[in-house]
Amino acid sequence: MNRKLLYSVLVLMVSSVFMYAQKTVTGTITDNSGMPLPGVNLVIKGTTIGASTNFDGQYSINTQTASDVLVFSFIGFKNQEIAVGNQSVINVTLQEDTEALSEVVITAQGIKKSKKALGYAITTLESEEVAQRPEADLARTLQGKIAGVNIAAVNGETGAGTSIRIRSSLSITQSNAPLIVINNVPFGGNITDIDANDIKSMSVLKGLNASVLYGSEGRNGVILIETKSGSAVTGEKSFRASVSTTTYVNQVANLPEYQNKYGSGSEFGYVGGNLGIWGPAFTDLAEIPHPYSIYGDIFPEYKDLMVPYEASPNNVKDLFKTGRGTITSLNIASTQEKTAFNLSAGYTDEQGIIGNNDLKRFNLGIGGQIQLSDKFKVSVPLNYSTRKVNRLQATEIFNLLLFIPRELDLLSLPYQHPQTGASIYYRSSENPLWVINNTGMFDDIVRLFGTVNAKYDFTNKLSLTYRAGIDNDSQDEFDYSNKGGFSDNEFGFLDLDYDKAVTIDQSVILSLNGLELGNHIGLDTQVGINSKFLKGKSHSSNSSDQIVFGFQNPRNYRTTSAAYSNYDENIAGAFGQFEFNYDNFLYITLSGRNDWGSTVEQENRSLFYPGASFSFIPTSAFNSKSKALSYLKLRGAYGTSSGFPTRYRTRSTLDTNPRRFVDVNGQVLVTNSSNDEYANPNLAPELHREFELGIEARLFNNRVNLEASAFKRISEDQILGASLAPETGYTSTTINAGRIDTKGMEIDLGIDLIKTENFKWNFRNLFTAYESLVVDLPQSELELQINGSASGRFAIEGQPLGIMKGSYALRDDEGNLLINPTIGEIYVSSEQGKDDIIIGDPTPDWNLTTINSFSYKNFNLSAQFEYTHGGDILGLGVQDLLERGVTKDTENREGSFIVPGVYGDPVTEQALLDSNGNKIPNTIQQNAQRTVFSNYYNAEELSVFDGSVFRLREIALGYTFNKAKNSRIPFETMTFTLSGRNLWFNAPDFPKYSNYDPENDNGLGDQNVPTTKRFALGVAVTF
Amino acid sequence: MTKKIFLFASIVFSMLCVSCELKDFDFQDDPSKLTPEDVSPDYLLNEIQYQFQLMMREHVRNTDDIMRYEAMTDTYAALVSDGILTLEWSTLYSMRINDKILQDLAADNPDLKFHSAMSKLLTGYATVTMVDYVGDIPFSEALQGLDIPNPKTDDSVLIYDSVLSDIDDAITDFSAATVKPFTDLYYNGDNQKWIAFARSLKLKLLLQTRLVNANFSSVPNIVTEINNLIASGVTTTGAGDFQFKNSTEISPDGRHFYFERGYSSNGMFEYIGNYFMYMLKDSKSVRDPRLRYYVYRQSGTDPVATGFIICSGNPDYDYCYVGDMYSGIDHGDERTGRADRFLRTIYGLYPGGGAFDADNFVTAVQSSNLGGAGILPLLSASYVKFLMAESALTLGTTGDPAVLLEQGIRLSMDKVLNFATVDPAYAATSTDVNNYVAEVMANYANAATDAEKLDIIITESYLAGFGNSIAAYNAYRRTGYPSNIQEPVDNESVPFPRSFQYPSNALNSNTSLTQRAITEQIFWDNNPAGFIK
Repeated sequence: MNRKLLYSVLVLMVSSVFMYAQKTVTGTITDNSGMPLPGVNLVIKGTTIGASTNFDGQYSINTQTASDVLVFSFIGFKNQEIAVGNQSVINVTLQEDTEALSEVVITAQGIKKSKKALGYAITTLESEEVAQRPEADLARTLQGKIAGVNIAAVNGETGAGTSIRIRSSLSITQSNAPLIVINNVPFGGNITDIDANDIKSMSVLKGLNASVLYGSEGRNGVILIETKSGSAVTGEKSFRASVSTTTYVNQVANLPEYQNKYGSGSEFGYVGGNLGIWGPAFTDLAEIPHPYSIYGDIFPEYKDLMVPYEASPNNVKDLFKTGRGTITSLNIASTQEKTAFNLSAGYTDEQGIIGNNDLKRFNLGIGGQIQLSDKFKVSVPLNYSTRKVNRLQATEIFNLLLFIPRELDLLSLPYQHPQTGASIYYRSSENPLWVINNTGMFDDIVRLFGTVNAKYDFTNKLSLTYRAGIDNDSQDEFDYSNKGGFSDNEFGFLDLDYDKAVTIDQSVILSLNGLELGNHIGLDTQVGINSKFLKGKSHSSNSSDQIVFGFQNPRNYRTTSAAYSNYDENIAGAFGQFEFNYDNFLYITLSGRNDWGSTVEQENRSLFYPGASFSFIPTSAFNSKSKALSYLKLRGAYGTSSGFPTRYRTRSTLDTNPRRFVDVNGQVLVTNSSNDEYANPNLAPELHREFELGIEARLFNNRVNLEASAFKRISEDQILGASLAPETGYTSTTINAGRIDTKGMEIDLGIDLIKTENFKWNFRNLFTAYESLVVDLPQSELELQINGSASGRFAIEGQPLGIMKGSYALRDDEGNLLINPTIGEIYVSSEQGKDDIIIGDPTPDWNLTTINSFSYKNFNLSAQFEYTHGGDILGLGVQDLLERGVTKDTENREGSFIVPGVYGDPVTEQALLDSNGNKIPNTIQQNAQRTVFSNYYNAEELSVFDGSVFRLREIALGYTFNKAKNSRIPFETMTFTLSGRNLWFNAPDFPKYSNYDPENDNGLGDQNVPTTKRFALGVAVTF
Repeated sequence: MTKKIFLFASIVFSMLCVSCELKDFDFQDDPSKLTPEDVSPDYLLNEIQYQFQLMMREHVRNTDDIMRYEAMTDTYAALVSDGILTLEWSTLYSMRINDKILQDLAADNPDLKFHSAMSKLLTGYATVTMVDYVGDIPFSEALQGLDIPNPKTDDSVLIYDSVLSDIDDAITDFSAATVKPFTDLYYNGDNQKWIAFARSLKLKLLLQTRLVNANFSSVPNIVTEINNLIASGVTTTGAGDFQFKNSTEISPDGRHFYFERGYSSNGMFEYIGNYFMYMLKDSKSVRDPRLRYYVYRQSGTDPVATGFIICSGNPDYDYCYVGDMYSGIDHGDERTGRADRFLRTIYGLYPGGGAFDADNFVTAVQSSNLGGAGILPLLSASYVKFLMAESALTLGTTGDPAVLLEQGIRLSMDKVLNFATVDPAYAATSTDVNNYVAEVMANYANAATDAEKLDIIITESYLAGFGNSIAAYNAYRRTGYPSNIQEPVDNESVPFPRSFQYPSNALNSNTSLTQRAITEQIFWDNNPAGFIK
């Protein structure tokens, strides 16, 4: 070593030790509006000594020498360096970094990228936006929070499914569910298995260009989730722990408002057991036979019993309970220089608003990272979850439940036969309480999801990443009904199902970053291969004919049949992404992927699809200093993706039934038959293309933040699960045909309306609109299947996807209803042998979410309003309420009514004319019942309502209590949150008192488990 | 250190890659399914036998209320609309493609002649039944999968013609067959009974077309052919009845659907038609001996007193309540939502395998019954006699119509009255039968015209044919009888369906089909529009 240098070092050391006594520097860091900034990192330049600010923006650090330089850094702000000198208090005002150079987002395959380089839309959400909400299902918490993403719950039942659609549906019959990626590894499970409180951050990739590296799996968009347990990072020694608990109540939200003047019957006459509530007024009749008087042999006490005829105003409301829920989460993070460890655990227990409906979920996440050498890091997050859901067997009961007779006090009556246990009800259908208490679906899902992430840095530019995930999922289903119900439930059944699925997903990615090609041009590149192997099996048994009432075990059923199936599926891909940048203001990215899939025959297995995007930042290019426009980015992308069909569609199989029929002598008939599905050996993967343009801007000193995208997507050679006419010898097949074009736009506009030291008001708007058009089909129309059955929704060439067809009322050329002159009722097209027409488009035109967030000192308040415009609903559930006369809508029923219209001829579809050539208005008077029942609403078209709805989705009020300096309180912060969800809605086109929530029944328009509103109190403590 | 780690990682990685067959993409065969090569002709024939009765049963269910056996509680238009025949349609074509596979196997295997013949008859019977309901259907272009996704319909006459010649082929094959199928649900491998049935079926088809001069390639003259068939031997004894026997099995459900309708703990959702009960009970001076076998009364309480009879005094109703606790409703009464399901009269012992009515007056569940082991009568000797009577009367074929009529009635009485052992105190006696026959025969002898005579033949066929409304529906459209049949009470001038509509599953996926009106007539029905209601 050079002597001079050695000398200098010695001098320096000596001077440090002897001349500069170690000293503590403190200070407060604020932004330029004076707000203290918590969590700002500071280090002494050239060392690993550092600290960070607390919630009041205050820090304290021990400096070594007077020449130490403190470097302050914080996301979204420019780094600032200050020499310590002899100061002991250094207050700093950080300047916001207008270009947000430091905003790094995680993109496909876990690749971190500067957000400004991206040519496509990405939305990121932070922990606070999803944590501590009163929903067991993360998907429901996300409703309305991401532009371009629609989330619909099937119904208000606890544990019922949700559907997530990113940029609408891509395919007519294939899955449209987005890919969920946890800690960079695709996750095969349900989003419900994820504990929202374990989420560190989420990114949503919306377009095909964004997800091209995920191949066909990513075609429906990708939700990237980073969990707290998966994000352990080695570094500064620290220990953090937090615990949070949310307790909530769950209440029915959309019951109709009932009339309480009239009881069951017909035309003002009492008829026991009638579904119609068109009987006499309660004031006009004193007594009626007890509703169970027909069960004199079972309940002698009711035989010949007369009871007062009076309304039971809360007879529906009282059938619903207040469900309770608790979500408890624990998080521990311990970091050392070379190792890091994270543990998170969560327990969720939610009860629904109906009996025997609950969900229990336990999540455990353990993660660690080890720095094996300077260049080699390995992390191994492991997640274990169990979810137990107990649901109703038949939600159809809500159809009848919502219009039970106004005088029927259901809760006070027995619902089952005292000896046999069979359902007992006032009429010939199942008692809803019997269904609630004697049928069920228990799902028990256990999932173990382990990943390995290993990264080796050859140089600071070249690295190799290996990532493997094993997703092991087992699902136990127990569906049963005791005997004594109706139809399927008459003899009782028990279906046991055990499914096990293993997915092994591995990727190797070679990255070369920061390569300079000449003075101005840089290149970041990643190439990799990916393999996904799926294996699964399923055992099931179906038992029927229960022996002893109330006991569910196959041995307690007379007949049991068993089934077994298994599968293997393999998808592999090779991909590359090349990002060129010019002086960090123009980025061009080229990407491509080739997939190989095992679900088609050899000649169709391989498919290549490319992508390209650009991002241009004029504010950087022209070095703009404007405060009005501080940041502007223009982007564009072209993306493609494939979609492989589901397994085993290309080769014929033979159906066998070992027990088709048992004859009088007990001989069992075994049968073989041709499979109804026509195997299509030419089936090939489908191809999707998408163009996307976007703008991102920050205006007025960063007070306004805008992100907007518009896209057009063309999906060709769609894989269609097509119905075949049975006369072809088959009833279904899978084909490549069809094209859907989808256009849409997403806008996310955030405005800081007020931004002072103590008070902030952020006003954020999310706008989503899209429309899809069926351009081509193998046949002119195709009825879509929902849950395996015909839905009344169609794909029709030249029409939006999912259009509704139905019967209509005949009208004259001026649109007047044509009326049958002999009975005064409308003519229904189907009864006249006329084909159904398009009666509505269920897809909403647009959605707007407005989130107002206020913070004042330690308080914060946010309110999320939503408006959905359009989207037709065939409201058969509401039609029932009207036809049965139970709501206040039909309370005014004395006197007579006339269906408006003119007399007409159903054959010519013309109005009849009087002797003067004038149309003849209908003057036939009918009573209220006859007007509304089996008359006006017989034409499905007239039961179509506009699904526009205003909704107050969420209000949350929080208070954060920070540990005061030198306080003895054993924790750092404590946060209290009060929140409410789905507090109010109004769908103006629906009859006022039906109180129908268009979100119920997933927009299909029937009555289902009503939607719920929730109130929660949450407490979170960090140590 | 780094090298070691790297080496270790490489080994782990390559193990993972190789062991899990990552390069294997040959997963096209579903490991959980059999392939078409595994097919067994016996099991295939079993499926065809099962599908046949399934389709016929559903057709019976469809027309029971249109033909007033069961009360019609909806409009004609709704009962024949495009939602009605979806199962029947898909079952028919599934049967036909199974038959096609079986005929291919039989083409070069002489041991499958019996199989082939049975399959031809069952498939042919099912096919013409569909033609009788909806007219022209896809036939020659059918069963081609994606090669012909939109098969065109063929002329009904051509389809009839093809089935007629299949019947001839089947008769030849039955005569030559040496190997019986493993299972024969209909005649237990008796080829003579099959042959007699085949001739009876042919007779039925020919008689059905008697109003029109259909041009059948294999039958130049239907009168000659019917005489030939009668001479060769048709089904004339109860032992040769072509019928499907139900069982008491619940899973898979093998019980008769009448039993399922009436005997669950939930009570009956439907009503028996008042017209049918009136005909049995009051249309003659003696009660029909089959009345206590056909229908069962659950309650001894006068239904008028319960308040559930809401039509009393309403002049639109012809019967409203037929008395003696026989609680049904009129044809076309849509007001059905009443809590009287344990008071209604329900299906009885025959043919649904329910209970014999011995004035027990207990609910169906409490009754002693056959547990659903009824029969689906498809082509009985009794029915053949009525067909022969009609043929003799209208076409002058072999036999005396009066004798044939009496044989038909007596065969029916024999069958019904001996269906199971019943309480002798209430069982019909031979005197009851003789009295009944005497009154019908006297009426027949007194009938002034052939039309009146035919009305009596068809009416008796209607009463004997309980459980097979397909025959009644065809006869009604062919002859317009029974002449006193009840018209719908809520007459909204919706015409009687002269045919059913194509089912939606056929229409929605086959562009070459267009919907037909319910007033369109089948080729053998040249009666005037609106002649029946």
